[in-house]
Amino acid sequence: MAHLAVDVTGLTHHYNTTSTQPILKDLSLTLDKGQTLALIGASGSGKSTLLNIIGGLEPVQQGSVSVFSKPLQSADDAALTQLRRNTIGIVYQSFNLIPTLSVTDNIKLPMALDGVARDEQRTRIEQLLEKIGLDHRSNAFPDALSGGEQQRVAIARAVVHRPALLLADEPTGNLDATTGQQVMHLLQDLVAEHNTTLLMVTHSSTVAGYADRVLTMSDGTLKEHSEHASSANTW
Amino acid sequence: MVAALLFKSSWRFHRQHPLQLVLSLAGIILGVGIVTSVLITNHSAVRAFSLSSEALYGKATHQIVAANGLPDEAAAAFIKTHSRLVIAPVIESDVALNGELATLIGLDPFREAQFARLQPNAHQNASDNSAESGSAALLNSNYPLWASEATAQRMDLTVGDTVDLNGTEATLTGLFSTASRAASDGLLVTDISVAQTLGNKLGSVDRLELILDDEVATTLASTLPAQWRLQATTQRQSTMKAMTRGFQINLTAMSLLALLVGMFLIHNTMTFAVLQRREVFATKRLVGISTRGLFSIVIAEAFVFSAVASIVGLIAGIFIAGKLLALTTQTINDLYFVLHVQQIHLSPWVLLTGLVLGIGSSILATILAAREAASDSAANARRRSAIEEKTATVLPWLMYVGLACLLIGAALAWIPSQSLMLGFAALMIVFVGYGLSIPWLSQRLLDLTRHTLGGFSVLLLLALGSLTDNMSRTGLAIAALTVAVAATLGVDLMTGSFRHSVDTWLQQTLQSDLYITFGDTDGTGRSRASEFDDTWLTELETLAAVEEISTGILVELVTNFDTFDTLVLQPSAGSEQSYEWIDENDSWNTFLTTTSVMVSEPMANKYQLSTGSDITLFTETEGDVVFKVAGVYRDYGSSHGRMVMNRSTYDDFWSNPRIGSIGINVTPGAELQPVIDRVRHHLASTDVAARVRDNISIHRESLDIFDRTFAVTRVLRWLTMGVAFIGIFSALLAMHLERARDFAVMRASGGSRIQLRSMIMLQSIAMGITAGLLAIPLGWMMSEMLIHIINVRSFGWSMNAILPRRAIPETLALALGSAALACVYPAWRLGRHSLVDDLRTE
Ligand SMILES: Nc1ncnc2c1ncn2[C@@H]1O[C@H](COP(=O)(O)OP(=O)(O)OP(=O)(O)O)[C@@H](O)[C@H]1O
Ligand SMILES: [Mg+2]
Repeated sequence: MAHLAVDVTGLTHHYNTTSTQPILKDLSLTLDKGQTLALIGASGSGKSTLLNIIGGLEPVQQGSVSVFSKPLQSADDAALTQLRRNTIGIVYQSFNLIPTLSVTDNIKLPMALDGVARDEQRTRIEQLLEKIGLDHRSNAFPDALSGGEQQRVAIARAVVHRPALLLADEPTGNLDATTGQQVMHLLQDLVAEHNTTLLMVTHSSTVAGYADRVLTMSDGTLKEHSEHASSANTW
Repeated sequence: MVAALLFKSSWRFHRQHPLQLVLSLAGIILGVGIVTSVLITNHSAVRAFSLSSEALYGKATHQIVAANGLPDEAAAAFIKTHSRLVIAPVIESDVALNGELATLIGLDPFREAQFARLQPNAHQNASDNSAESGSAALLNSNYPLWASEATAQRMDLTVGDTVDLNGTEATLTGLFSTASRAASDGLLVTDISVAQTLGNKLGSVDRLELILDDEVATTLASTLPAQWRLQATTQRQSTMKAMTRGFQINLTAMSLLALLVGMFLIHNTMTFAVLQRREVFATKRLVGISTRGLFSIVIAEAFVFSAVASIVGLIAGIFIAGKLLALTTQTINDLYFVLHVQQIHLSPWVLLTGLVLGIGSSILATILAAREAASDSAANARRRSAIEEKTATVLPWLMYVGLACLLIGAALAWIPSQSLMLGFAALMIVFVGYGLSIPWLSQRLLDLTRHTLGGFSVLLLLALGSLTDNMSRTGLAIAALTVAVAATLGVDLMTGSFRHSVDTWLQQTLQSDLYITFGDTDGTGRSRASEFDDTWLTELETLAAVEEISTGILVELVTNFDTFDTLVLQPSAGSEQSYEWIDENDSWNTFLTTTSVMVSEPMANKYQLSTGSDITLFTETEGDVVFKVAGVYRDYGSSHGRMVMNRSTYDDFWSNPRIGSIGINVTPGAELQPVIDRVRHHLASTDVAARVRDNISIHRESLDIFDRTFAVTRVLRWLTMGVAFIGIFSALLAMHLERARDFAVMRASGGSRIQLRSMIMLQSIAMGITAGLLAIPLGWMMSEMLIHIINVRSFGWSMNAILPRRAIPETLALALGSAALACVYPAWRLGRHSLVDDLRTE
């Protein structure tokens, strides 16, 4: 299975041990390297939960989850940290930038935590800033940026360490249509550049249209979407 | 309706942050507890004093005293000539009862009835069912010894028990009770003759007590023999109360400092509670709740919490007071006079004061936070940084106000006054002023560090960044820690300097190698006197290896302004070295050759005396005589003040051949123990109870007393540190609660647990070091003020300030240590919390 970026089998997840109804029920999913997958589904159906489990933020309760052949269910905290440093990048709906760090420092954060050499840090940041079109705002603080700008910084932060798997939870959810489109283009560019696997959650069918594959979450399991909608590019 | 909803919402918030709430309550509880305990302790001591005075003096309104007691015959004659007046002779001595300090009162049973000071215990003394009422029943035994019920109960004694009284056996023949049971703890009663024997006071009584109205008193005063003095009982009491006032004010000030630190804490928590809910508040305002409504809800919260916490604090205070009272009574016994009562007296006023201080300071500390909740524009409140931006503009202003306070404090300190209150006011204002400048100062310090070191590590940048960006909270925590650490340093420097001075002084004062004291078994250091013939003394001086001797007796001399313990000294050649002069003069010669006395520094300070001043003394032979002040000497033995008089001068005006102590200088190089043995042998030829001690053990004992004196201060200091610790702990916790999402983002971006924990450590260390550095100047200022203003004004003692080399590293270590300890829980918690939950909070 070396060609699989994500391999989920028999995943079951409860939030409350008291509630009998699981959020995820015996869910299985495979995702090829370099593929772009959109996850849609009703609010509260468990999309974010699945994403968080794959990102190693939420523990695997039952079943197995592998990311690039690394089993998460048996990974300890150090292994998960390592996975997040080397393999995974995450983009959130609410940007989640650190308000006390400047744009540059926010982007620098994953590399600094990983101990990437300073020169290397600088060149990557310069490249990314140019790509997201914010080289003139490199010293600004998140407070002073618009929503779209903030999300572009967040995306830069999520890809700066060149992750093989990018997870995005409603990356355009807080943005208006035009801005959302810009952000999606950026995301697409970046993913294409390094053949990154992208797993994103969205409510927007337009956004889903960017994906190679669309899955619908309901009743704790996934259903493959029948029609392919990559051409539906209207916002 | 709306109010109920608002309350429900508040309640839910606090239930979700229980630790935060508990910490803030703990801050108020400790603050109120400390203040109340000191108030209760002081009140209890004062009350104990008046109760025991009541027990001692009964209905007596006046007393007649003389410099050296009233001779038996003269007293008897006086009573006979004034047969219409109610008069009773009294002897009062400190004795050791089964090794415990007690007051033995010698009374004339037939003259006691109208004074109503004691009732025989009917049940215990049933055997003497005589018709004689009250104390006359005492006569039923030829060696009567009655103990108060309180004493008997505490020491587990019953009538018929054999007790040890100053080293001799005696039988307890009865019990008595007084109007206030607790007040008589430590009181023993016997008849005059037994008291005279036990107290080494054969041939005289200490005083005559009288029940007089003022008119009779005035006429009587004019007919008294020259060396007798009539004084009102209350006058004596107020003198004694005044003695302990300085000490009590010291304690109160320390406790207020603790409350000040507690206020920082309350402010911190309430601000946190408001900050955490700023969006809730903003939403509430959007749905139409008035600004005033929000303001009131925050104040109401503070009121409810502080009321609950203050009540618990009062209970804690009562508990702490129990511990403090024992320490305080010990100090009063060591320094001032014997006070036995150890019972806590709760007055409603004291409790009310504690409650008002607790609630009042909480609400005061909350006002800023409440205004924050109310005044923010709805849109602004949603912005995370809005409040910090506001803080950034407020900090310089706080600093200016603080600076102004510092200047005012310094100005107050410069006012040449004797007022202790003024001194403390200056100290407090300096503290508040410095405290207000701390957030600004620490922001500068942290910013500087961030700019110089931040380039090296994003972790450091992050750690310091969130400190400076949360100044509204971290600034206050640093301020609280700084104030507490500074108070610790200030008190340490003061007691250290003080102890050093006392040590040097003892070294100098204890010039003789050996000291013999007579009847001095009670541990008060007040020696009883004995009479020796000259041959015995000459023989003592010719013992092998005895080089020379000096003798002394401690007497009470009455001046035109107060009564002072006076050492009457027959000096030896080495005695001159015992005294360090405050002003340089030919003092020793004057002392030896003229009608003069030396006065101690506290006495000189209190009564504006200096070398050459005049003092009128009541003498036995010539009544009022003017003495010159030969010199002012350093003395840490009594804050009331004392004098030294040359023996030959004394013998000119008083006829008291007794001596109370002998100082022996041993031939240099000779071993002490054989000399001690020879002296003991020589003493055996007399039947006087005596103690022989070398100067080293006296020195050590005196330092022990000194350390006991400051035991209370130390306890208070640690309690204050406790409050500050809670402050920094809850500030760190609050900050990390607020920053939980940032931490989660860092984790999600590849941060390891260790990296995040080290970040929290870094923050704690930065706060600790900042507080430690800022505490050093404040602590030093405090010690300077304590040494040069407070101590001089409350005790009359001057001393040299010394700064031990270890003080600075110790201060830094204390600040750093408590900050590091405070971060243990937040760091531990960090690894346990669900990342997803934290990411969701927005
Ligand atoms: N920490 C938690 N504790 C308890 N229940 C939770 C928790 N997080 C999520 N849930 C519940 O689990 C279910 C799935 O939540 P999840 O966030 O995965 O949904 P979602 O599909 O992402 O919804 P949305 O599209 O609204 O973001 C929801 O019913 C939610 O209430
Ligand atoms: Mg979701």
